Amino acid sequence: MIYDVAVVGGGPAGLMAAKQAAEKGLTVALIEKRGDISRITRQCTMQFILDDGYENEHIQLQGGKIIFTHNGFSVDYNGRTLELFDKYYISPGGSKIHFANPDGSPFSIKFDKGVLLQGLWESCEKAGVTLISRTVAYDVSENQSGLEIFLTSKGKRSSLKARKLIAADGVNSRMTDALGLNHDRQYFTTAPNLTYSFEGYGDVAPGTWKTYMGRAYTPYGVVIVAPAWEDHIVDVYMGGKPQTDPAVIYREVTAQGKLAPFFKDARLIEKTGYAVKVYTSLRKPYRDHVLIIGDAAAYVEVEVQGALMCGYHAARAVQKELSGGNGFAEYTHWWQESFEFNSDEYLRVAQGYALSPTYSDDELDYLFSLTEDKVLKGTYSQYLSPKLMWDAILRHQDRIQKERPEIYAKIQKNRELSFKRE
Amino acid sequence: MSVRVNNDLCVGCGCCIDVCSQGVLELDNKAVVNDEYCIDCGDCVGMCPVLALSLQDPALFQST
Repeated sequence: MIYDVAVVGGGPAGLMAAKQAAEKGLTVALIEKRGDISRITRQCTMQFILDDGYENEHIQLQGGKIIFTHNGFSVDYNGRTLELFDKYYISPGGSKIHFANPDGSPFSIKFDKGVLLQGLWESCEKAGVTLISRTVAYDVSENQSGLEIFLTSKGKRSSLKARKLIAADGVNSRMTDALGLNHDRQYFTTAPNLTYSFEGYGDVAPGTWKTYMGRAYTPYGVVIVAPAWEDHIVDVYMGGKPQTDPAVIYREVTAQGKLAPFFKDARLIEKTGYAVKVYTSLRKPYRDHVLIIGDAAAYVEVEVQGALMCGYHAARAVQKELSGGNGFAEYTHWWQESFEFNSDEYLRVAQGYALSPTYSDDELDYLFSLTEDKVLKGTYSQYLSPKLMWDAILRHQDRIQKERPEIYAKIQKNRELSFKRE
Repeated sequence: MSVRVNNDLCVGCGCCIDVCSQGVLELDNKAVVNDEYCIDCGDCVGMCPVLALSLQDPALFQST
């Protein structure tokens, strides 16, 4: 049989696309490498971001639904939630930059991704999607009428034919690579991340997100301490370095760095890790019969809410393409408008505003001390946070220039880093 | 020859599977190898965040 559409990847983007496509009456097959959809093997922070305008949306959680008020759809979610109220960037000497909403409302909500995916999986089943789990899609070939996707499951090989392909196989997308679509993207790095959950950590502060910057904490990037589901547990995210033993990084953070005293009586409950290939986004995320959605086409990530939007729009796009319309081009227009990383300005922020390791511990302490008494608007956005922070710091640029000309020169140099397009 | 998985270290993230061009690797809570298709390219080894993968003969490691 030839499916109308094959979806590779059972994350939020792929499942949403498959569900919507099947509900429109298309024949859909979805391929997922995991056996148990609800088992999340890559710990990420899993927050719904409540900023009005984030990804051109303003989502609301109400009555067991995630409501996408601008895009005009909703997704069921009946799992647990945990509100986040305060975020701190903390310098080596302990100076803090504080983000919080003035009215005391939360700026993001932690959710249970396993529950969300399980719900979407069941909706796919109900809608008649052919769900193929514990199966890896490792290659794809194209011809005039469609595609053949090559699969392996428990060592057995097979293939599947479809008229259209939605590749939703995540940040390290195999499909994108197999199709040669990464050639036009600028590759930055492969970044490993390690996540550990601890009980008995000495500085538990529920509802609070803390990012520690500087070599005093770790020479390998930043350390993030975030609330876990239970009040007495924290999730600790440690930046890694390719081909560096995680045990070394773990020891740096928990035994040698400045946070070591907090780990004195801490008990490790769980550890996970993953590595992310960092490319510029695919600004034109389609070719012929293939549409690339979600993290697979992103600069790092679209977040779960962005992935759900991608899935929703991808199903519409495929339906339109199958009936002779320009669905993929329309999707691309929406994609470019909605995601900040498709603009050069975003990449300037992401690349040029990085604090660690660009600035020394002493320099970080100085810069952070300038804004210590102020509370910045609460946001989880990885774009808006550094932007607000730098706006606040640069209000003092005359003072920086006078007091610390060498830091001022460094800031100027980093701000001028213009992004080179190939 | 083929890649080996150290099950004590593997955290089952599946990043090695993402980068395998030959469909050698699968996920069964942890990474599983289909020996016969492995071409020893080492791409998965370079991707693993917890250094759980290795080639039998380290001299064959070609990843950069």
